[in-house]
Amino acid sequence: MKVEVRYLLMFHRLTGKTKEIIELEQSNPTVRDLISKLGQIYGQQIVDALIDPKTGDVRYTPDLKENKKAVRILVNGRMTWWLNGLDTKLKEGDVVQLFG
Amino acid sequence: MRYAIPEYILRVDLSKQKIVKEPLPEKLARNFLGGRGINAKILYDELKPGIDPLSPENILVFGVGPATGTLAPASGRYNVSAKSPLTNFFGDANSGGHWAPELRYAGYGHIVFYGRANKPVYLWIDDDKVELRDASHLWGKDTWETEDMLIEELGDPEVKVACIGPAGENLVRFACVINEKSRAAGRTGMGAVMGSKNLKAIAVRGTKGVEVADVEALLNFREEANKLIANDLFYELYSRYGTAGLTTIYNEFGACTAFNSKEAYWENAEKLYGEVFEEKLTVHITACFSCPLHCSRVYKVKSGPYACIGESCEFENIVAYGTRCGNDNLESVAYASTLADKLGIDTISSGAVIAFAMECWEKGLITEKDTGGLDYSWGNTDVIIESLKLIAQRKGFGNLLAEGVKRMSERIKGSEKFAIHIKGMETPAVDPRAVQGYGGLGYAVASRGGDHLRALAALGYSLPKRAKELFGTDKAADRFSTIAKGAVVKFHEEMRAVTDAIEICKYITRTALLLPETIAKLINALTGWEIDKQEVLRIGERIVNLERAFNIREGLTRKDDTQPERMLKEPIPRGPSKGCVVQLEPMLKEYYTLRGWDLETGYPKKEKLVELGLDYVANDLEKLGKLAK
Ligand code: SF4
Repeated sequence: MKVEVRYLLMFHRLTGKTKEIIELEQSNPTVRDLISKLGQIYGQQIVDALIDPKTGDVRYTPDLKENKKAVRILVNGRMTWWLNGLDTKLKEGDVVQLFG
Repeated sequence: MRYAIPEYILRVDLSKQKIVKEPLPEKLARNFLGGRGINAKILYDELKPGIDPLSPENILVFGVGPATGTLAPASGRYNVSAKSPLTNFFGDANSGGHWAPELRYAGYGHIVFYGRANKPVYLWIDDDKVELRDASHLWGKDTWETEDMLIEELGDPEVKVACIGPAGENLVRFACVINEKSRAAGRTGMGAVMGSKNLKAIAVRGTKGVEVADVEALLNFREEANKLIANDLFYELYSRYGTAGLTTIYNEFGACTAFNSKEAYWENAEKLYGEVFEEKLTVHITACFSCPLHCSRVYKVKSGPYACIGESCEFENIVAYGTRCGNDNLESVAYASTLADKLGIDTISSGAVIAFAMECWEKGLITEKDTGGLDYSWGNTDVIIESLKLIAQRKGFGNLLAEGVKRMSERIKGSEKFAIHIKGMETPAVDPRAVQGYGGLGYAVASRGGDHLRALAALGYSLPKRAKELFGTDKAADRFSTIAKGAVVKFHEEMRAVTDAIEICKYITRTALLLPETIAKLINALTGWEIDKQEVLRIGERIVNLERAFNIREGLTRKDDTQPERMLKEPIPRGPSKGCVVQLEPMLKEYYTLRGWDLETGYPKKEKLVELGLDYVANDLEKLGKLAK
């Protein structure tokens, strides 16, 4: 199953890309699955940027102590906050935008 | 002992060539802080209602504030205010750079211009020496030439110049004031008011310091502020890509004005994204005075028909000359942006009038006969550039474009339905249908017309956790929902008024330094007052209500707090915000109720004005029969 990932701003810097098609093996993949796939490709850094280990959720707020910025994950233009967070289901052709 | 509050107000009668310097009362600063706040107070108190904004009766005020020129972050800003020739309501614009600190270092908080000079003049402020000088040799020059000539003539490279270009001289209704070649006090036609007064420029040199009340507290504040700014969600966007980065975000949101608002998402906009701008055009990063966010950049198109160099090609410019006109050629956008700065034209309004003409052309409402042979097809880069030149000179079709979208639509039959303006001012780059609070309500109620910066309701579409703390529901941050948007817009309007009045930049206060307790800390460190967050909000509310009263006196009613027909009735056709329209009524009702304004007329209630210490304003409105029952 394929989704389009757009790397905006900070994620453009981290990946050196603007967008790409990512293929996910799972039959019912979620945003969490996509992030672990991105971790395989781009390393732990991108996972740390996206997920806050303290909450186990998207880094919606900055961590001033760790100097980690807040980020946003959008699925088809809608922030994951309004969907199902990291458990938001993805379907064929979805556009996932990452920015921070 | 008084700290940080500028010492003097300058009153300049251009008709009589008389300059009076008077002390700025601390009480005035206590109530209105400075900058936009005191400008509004001066205009409300001194301007006769109903006057023609381009007549000598209009009053033009420049103002800086208690933060100006200090270690406060991003404290290089000033406001210029007058009755607007574009809206006939309250006119006001804000600009950055280094002009404001220079004025502050000369000891002045506000300059108030009256009347009209009988020939072109400029004001030269050299610390205590202030004089009007002949500007005949500068008339007709663009803003870059004017600045170069003045610096040469005055013999000091440290002189800072704010001036108008040909557009201001020719009374283009959306002419702006430009300082340091690229910083624009852009909106509501303040450049035209300057032109109508035969005032070409204000050149300033100031060498005095600013004494603040508590240096240590200010240093601590700065340290804390830098940290908040550097970890803000939008830090990388502004600091690395400049506001051009917003093109990326808003198009991905499906909230990017395209094709005169027929669309809010455009695939080709990718060619205009911040990442592309940075890679192709950015030469180096710059900043206004004392700013840690440094959103400005010098850009350069090296060769070809659009070869140019300039500074600060903002998101608004990229949309105005790019997506709004169906143009995906980034180099032409940069070129148009430099040209607009030189001519002294507001980029948002000028892009909007060209896009409006393009839709009129598409629908066959105008032809080559009207345009003098120019082809207004979508994306015609040459016609975008040619239009700017014609507007500035008011030549040919440019004479109509120079009137703004509202007046154009009154002349072009059948075009009212897609005339994108509010209260006569063209709306900015973000499509309000896709962001209910920020755009839908925020633009509709802004005192200066179709404008995003009065509210800049950033929590209305981002930071749900913060929104929940402040407004009791995370839905306040849902851009598609109308829930709590009245409260969101009211809160942001108060805070924007305060930061415009102390004169620090909206981009650092956008979300990073947004909270009233943060700003109270800054004000107290600067002035030695001990005000709390409630007082900060109250001052903001006072300024908002005073501007409201100014507008009501000029004839504003509830029907003016609205959106263009397209935004209310035509759903966004494609993209991530497909199907949205502005759902204005419920938001407006909540907003008026919270403001203490009448639901039917939009007039303020007496109790509200009295509560804010504006008793005399209540009396004025009562006499006019314009106070809510
Ligand atoms: S954020 Fe940008 S516009 Fe604001 S003061 Fe800093 S450089 Fe100037």
